[in-house]
Amino acid sequence: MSIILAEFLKLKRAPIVPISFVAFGLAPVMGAVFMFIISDPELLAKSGAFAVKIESMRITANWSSYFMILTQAMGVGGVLIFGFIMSWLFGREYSDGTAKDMMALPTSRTQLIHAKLSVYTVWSFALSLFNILIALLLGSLLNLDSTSGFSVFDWAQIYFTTTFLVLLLGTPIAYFALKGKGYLAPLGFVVLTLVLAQIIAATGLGTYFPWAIPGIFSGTSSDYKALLNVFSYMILAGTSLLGYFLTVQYWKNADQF
Amino acid sequence: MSIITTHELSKNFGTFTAVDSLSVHIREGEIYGFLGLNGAGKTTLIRMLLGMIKPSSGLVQLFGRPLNASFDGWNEIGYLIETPHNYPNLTVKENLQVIAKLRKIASKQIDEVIERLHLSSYTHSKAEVLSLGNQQRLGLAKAMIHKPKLLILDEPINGLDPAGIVEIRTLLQELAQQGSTIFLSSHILSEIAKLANRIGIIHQGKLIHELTQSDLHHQLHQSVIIDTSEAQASLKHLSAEFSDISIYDSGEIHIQDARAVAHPEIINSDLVKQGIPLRQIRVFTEDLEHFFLRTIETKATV
Repeated sequence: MSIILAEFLKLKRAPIVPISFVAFGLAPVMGAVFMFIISDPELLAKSGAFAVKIESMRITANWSSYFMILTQAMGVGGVLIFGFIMSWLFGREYSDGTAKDMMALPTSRTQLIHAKLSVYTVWSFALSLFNILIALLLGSLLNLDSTSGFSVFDWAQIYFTTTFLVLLLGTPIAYFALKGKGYLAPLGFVVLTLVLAQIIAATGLGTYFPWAIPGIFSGTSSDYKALLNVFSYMILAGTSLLGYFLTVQYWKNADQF
Repeated sequence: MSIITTHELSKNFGTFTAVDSLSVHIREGEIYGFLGLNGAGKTTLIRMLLGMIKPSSGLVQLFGRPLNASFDGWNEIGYLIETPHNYPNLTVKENLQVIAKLRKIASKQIDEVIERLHLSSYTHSKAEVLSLGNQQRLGLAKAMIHKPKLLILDEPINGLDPAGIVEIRTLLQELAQQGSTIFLSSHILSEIAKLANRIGIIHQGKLIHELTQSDLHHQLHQSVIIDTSEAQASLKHLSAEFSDISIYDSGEIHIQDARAVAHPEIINSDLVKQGIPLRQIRVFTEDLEHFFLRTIETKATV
């Protein structure tokens, strides 16, 4: 437990913590802007290209649509933001030069990895909850309608499952942060996976590409969501396990200069 | 009791040998100074002692126990490697709290080590605003917070001002008197000479010379340097009486003969009797830099 506390202490006054909340919090704010415009037909009529986009998204000004935007933002934006968090948690030890202080300790190196992964999990879920709170606040201010047949429980299940799927994709990033000894390699990897996710999803094979799966699950493309199958989830889980295994093995066994 | 033992320890990076069959034995309470040029293998050796780098061959024993995956003596060891780095967003105290939690030690030791390293006025200062010297103190505080039996320090006085150097020297000497063993590397030869009981010189990955403090003083070369307007006549006369004599382009005559070094007044009276006027005569003792460079040059030519 003291190791996890040490990892939380390292976050104190770190600018990335508020930055991550502000960046991730843009999703419910933008969603609220959408809802506001949709709820005003005159404003929507004046918004040109935006109106076309709204039309293509088939959304209306209600809680169901608002929460759907939130889930989709998690499925796509979460990969980016959670990826940044993981890159920072592991990469900072090299950029701050403190990795060497974590080598010859009575705490095992595997425990140190677990402590960092615990912080990553708590931080990511905090971001996930933070967006719900902002959405509840802004949705109430906009006086959004409830739609018949909308179940908060069903939505929460999809939202938190999407969060969990995104969360699982963090372990390979940790490996790249250790291997690349800093932020650059993992951030590059995050950007690459996002680009590849878009390309591969467009080819119709996104259901087998780990970084596209959370987005598809979140409902960004309802046509494809039905194509997700047990192999899709096994591929994602396998990627996560491989990332974990590589991270632990590298941290335990690689020469540290 | 041997606190650090390495036996035929080697580390290769591809075809480059960073440490080459290095064997050292460091006893309890000893301050062992490690000297070497940049890239000589000092930091690689230190990282192998701390389990950060796996040796290509050879053995490391700490406190008589082999250094392997099951080694559990890490709380008996404190270390500082090269430039100290701290979490810039955390204060001095918070940086030490992180280490205390990772080492699973009582938090009261934080205040003790802050006091000991004279960091009290910076307790609540963020590490990013500390001077290099105070960063170094914080690095040492992290190494000493758990009162280790063995301290492994790589360039521990880097960045310290003269008063800080004296403080740290005194602190390390006190720790050694209390039974701690200290293994330190430095390029500041005079400091190593003041601090270490034993000195090892590493060059191109090999331990080329090991000597005690008293050996060092005996092994420093001494010579008598004579400056006269009649160098050739002086040389001719002195050559008959002393060995190890040479003349430099500047016209200075250097005599390394032990009898001449012990009694330079003999040379003075001899030359005066010969009617050779002297401008200057002095005994020169080689400094540590000369000794170090001579040692590694000798080994390079061997």
